[in-house]
Amino acid sequence: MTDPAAPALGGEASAPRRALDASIAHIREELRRAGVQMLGVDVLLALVIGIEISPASALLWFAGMQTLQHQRRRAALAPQGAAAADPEAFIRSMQHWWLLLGFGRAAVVALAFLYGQENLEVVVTMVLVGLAAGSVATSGGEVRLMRAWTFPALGTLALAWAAQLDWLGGTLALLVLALARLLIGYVENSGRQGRRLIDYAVELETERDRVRSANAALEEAGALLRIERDRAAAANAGKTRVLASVSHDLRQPLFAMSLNTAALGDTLERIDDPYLARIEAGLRRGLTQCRGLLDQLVDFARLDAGSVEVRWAALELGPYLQALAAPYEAAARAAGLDWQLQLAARPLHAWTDALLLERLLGNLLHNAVKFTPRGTVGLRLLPQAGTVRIEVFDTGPGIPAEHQERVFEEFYQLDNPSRDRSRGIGLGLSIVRRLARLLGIELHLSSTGTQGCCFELLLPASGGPAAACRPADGAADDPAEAMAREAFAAESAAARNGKVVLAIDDEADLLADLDTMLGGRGYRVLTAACADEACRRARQQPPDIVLADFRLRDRQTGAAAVQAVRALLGRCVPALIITGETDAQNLAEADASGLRVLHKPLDGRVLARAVEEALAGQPPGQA
Amino acid sequence: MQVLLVDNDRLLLEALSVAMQARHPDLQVDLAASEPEALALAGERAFDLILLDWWLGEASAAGCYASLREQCPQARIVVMSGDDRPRLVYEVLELGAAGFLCKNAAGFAEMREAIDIVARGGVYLPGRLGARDEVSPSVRQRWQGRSLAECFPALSPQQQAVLRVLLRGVSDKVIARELDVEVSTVKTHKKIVFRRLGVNSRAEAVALAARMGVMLD
Repeated sequence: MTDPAAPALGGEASAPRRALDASIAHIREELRRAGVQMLGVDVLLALVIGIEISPASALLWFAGMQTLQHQRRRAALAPQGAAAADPEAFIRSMQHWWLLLGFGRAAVVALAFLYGQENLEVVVTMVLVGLAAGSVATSGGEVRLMRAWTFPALGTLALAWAAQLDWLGGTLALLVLALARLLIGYVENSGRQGRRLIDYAVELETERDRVRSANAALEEAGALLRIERDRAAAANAGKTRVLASVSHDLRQPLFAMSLNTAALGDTLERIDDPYLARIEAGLRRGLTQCRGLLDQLVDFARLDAGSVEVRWAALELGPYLQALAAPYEAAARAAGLDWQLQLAARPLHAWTDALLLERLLGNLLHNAVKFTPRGTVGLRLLPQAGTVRIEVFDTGPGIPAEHQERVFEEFYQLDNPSRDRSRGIGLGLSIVRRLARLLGIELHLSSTGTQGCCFELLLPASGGPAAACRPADGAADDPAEAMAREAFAAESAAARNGKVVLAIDDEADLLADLDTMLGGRGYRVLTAACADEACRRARQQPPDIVLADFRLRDRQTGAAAVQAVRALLGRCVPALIITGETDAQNLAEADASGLRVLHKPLDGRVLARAVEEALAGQPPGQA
Repeated sequence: MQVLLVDNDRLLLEALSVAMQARHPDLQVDLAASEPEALALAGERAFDLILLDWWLGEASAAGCYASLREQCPQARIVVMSGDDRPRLVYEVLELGAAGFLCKNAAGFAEMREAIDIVARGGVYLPGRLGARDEVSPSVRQRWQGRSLAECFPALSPQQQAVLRVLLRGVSDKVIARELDVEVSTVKTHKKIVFRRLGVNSRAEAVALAARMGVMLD
């Protein structure tokens, strides 16, 4: 719509008012558009009247009619403010104009029927019927306007025909009246429908506005939430930074104090002073405790900052837990507690980080020992479909149900109102929870409140040999990474799970060394003192690799023993020669065997790498 | 033995010198709290051992390390830091450090052992990097300091000499000058030594030496 006075949709107006506004806009539009057509009709009528009756009456009527038309247009179109301010008054004033125009048409009827011929009567009737149809549009669904025009115009026409007092006149009069009734009914109906449409539109608009404002509110709430979240994240990051820098800044003076205390202890070895010795012991205990707390803080800060790297590897849990638990077993026994370590009958492998898991379990075991006054603490390793289950349990006072969720929060402590430092600062379990999350471990706490605690850990299982296909995470070429990985002893155990190593040496010492170093890394070690025994062993259980001392008893060489085993198995089993030779001649001889030579004393990591490389079929030597 | 301690923290300098001299009264310890101080002292005395803090204030001590290395080719330079992440340890070992001392030592026993090893010419690395339980159990024992020949009998005297200077952490050029051989000869020897030891880099060689309990001086 181009009319500037057209009521804008979406205003505050009520639905009836909006309907009225729409009608007015429509009326104005129609008047503006239909002006020329009206003029044409009036000119035509005036001409006919001028010819049929008298030019004077035609002129008079035309002038009167045009004045009315002009005034109506002016009233309707000019003051756009009036229509907007009070649409009812506007409609009422329009009603007058419609009425006057209706009488204007009635004048034509009168002229035609009083002075004209019969054909003029017919022409006028046709024109009026046409105009009546046209006024349906002009009245814009406003039935009051339609009536105001129709009553004088068509009423007079019907009356004029009826006054003929013949059957044709009566019929036509009735038809005109029926038409009038029909048109008025139509306008009424279309007005009602228009109002209903407007109602519907208003409803839609209201709904739209409601949705819009709801959206806006949501957006605002979202923005607030974002701000809140950012603030919380910033606060958290700030807390982490403070923790990190405090623990870092405390470390150095603490280290200096430790050095001084150590110096005091060393000096006391030379001068005997029991009083000073007590002071030294007190200092040492305090510092040890301090360092424990600080370690927790650093762990916590690092975990919180997400700067802890996970070195994933397959880990055989049996030997690992045995080694890990030893100091806690000692601590438990020292505290007068019973200790239980229950391992699964078969080897279980988890996909995890050995060092981080050690910290996690260490925290739990430390707590178990610390909070159990009497009874038993222990560790269980159980197989479970799809996962591996580790349980740390105690017979301590337990954790009441209402605290079981909260104990994993940082700085939350049960029953420590005096914040006794020897009981820690309440970070242990929050570190446990963070580590568990990092390692994909499902963590459950069950405690009946009086029967002690049991922490259940469900670790991602490693499929044992199948996991060999899985490349160890971060097995990049970065030598620092490689060294670190080896340093943390969590080497990709996958490749060696269950691999059989046949070790041949006439010295029991070296065999024991090999058994310890390789057995601890997941290999099965068979031992033999000579080539014959090696062949017997190989027949019982074919080895995946042979390690032979270069010089065996009775002038046998390791190289010959390797040949014998290979001949027996009918395939070229990987083999390594170990030698303690220092003599250049003998060394050259060992080198000449074509097998890779390792030198005594053996380093576990060098040996492990050599065995792994040999098993993988890599050429010996360096990168 | 002449020792130089370089750290921007006076408290730590004092404590470290006290702790070292309490166990090893024969040590002569000098303290420097900054790079200029350290270089001035290095110009006056021939140090056998330098303990250098890796973070001197804001910057790393890499520049200071290079200057000290230049000035004292005969000294073992051991880097100290509160940060003992393997990546940093590896970096400083590749750079030529003759060991790494962590300022977060886990306990008194470990701290004393570290001081002993460093003061007696051994190679010390923190925690698992220097774990001696990785060595054949039949030779495993408390650190006593064993000669290179004892630890690596398979190396020829010439190779042992190369390894000794290599572990101290000087360039191939300095090794060549000290042993009076060509640089290319040094390179060849290094290759053979690495292969014999089963290592791939200087850092790994130092780590192996630490595990074996090598005593350099």
